[in-house]
Amino acid sequence: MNISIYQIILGLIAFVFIVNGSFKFFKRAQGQTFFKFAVTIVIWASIFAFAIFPNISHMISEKIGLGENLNTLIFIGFVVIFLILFKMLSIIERAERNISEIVRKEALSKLEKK
Amino acid sequence: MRQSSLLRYNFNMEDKDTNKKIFAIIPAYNESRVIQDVLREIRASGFTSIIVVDDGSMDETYQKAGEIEGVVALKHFINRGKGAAVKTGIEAAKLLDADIAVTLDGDGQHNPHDIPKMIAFIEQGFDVVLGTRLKNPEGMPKYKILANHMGNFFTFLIYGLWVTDSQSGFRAYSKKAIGLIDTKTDRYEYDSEVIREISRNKLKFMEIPIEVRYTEYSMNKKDKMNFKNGLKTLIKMIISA
Repeated sequence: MNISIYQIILGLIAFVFIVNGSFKFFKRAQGQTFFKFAVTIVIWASIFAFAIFPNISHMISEKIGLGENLNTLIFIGFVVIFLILFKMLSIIERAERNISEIVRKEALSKLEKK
Repeated sequence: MRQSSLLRYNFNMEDKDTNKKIFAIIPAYNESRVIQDVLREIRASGFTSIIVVDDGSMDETYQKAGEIEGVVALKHFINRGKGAAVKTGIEAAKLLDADIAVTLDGDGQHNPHDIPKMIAFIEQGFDVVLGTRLKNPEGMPKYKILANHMGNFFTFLIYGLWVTDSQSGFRAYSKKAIGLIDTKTDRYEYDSEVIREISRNKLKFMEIPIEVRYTEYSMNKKDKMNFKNGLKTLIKMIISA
């Protein structure tokens, strides 16, 4: 099996992200959620698998009867959508938290003024 | 500055035996019909320092709570959820230098006569005392028992600590727990998040059976936990795990 430099680099990057995500999750780092962990593993494990074993995409495209180019396009599309969804959820979560903090500060300021 | 303004409050808030400052924290949303009765009952049980957090009610909950002697009434200007209201109450208790904080629901379903039992365990060295309905489920509707078991299962699965009533709002916290517990969620998932914080901070906890009074009023409330809210809570628990 011939492995090119780009496969090794991509595989290493994916591996680092998987280890880092797992470490944060199992250490119960602040802000690290099960959802973030699951998304990290799914995305980077897929990238790792496709980088090291590119034949997987050929096998899948043959099985479901799609052309190779289209298959790649769909894969990239999924990754992008997942990343956008993940980012949006994080933004909403942060915004909700900030709103609650503002409301809380305002409520507690009355306690200090009295 | 902060200290001097807080000193203006004159609470009768010390446990007579231990001189500890004990605060009852009550999140309330549209509870104007019952809030004064709930507060009077708590005061009659000997706990005269009460923090009520009105979570953006559209009725007169805030005004009615403030009329009762010894009550610190705080108001969220918009509704943020039960968890957010409890957290505001906990933050207020911190500002008032509380030694023990007890959280109860605002609809009167928790019996304040259970508070001394909880405080006794805190004084024995426990950090958190969780009131559990499932050790004494008499009068509890069957669907609530089932929903509770499901809540406990998912709390264990997501947060890794088994408790018999992960959704109970009747809890007591020591000063150490008040300082360490750091929650982020705003709604019903808050109760489960506290379980995660107990596990994360390795806090010493105890579960004790409590009496819950299911009245016509509490059962007919619009914003109570139901299947739809339960599903939402589960999704939020997964996201915030």
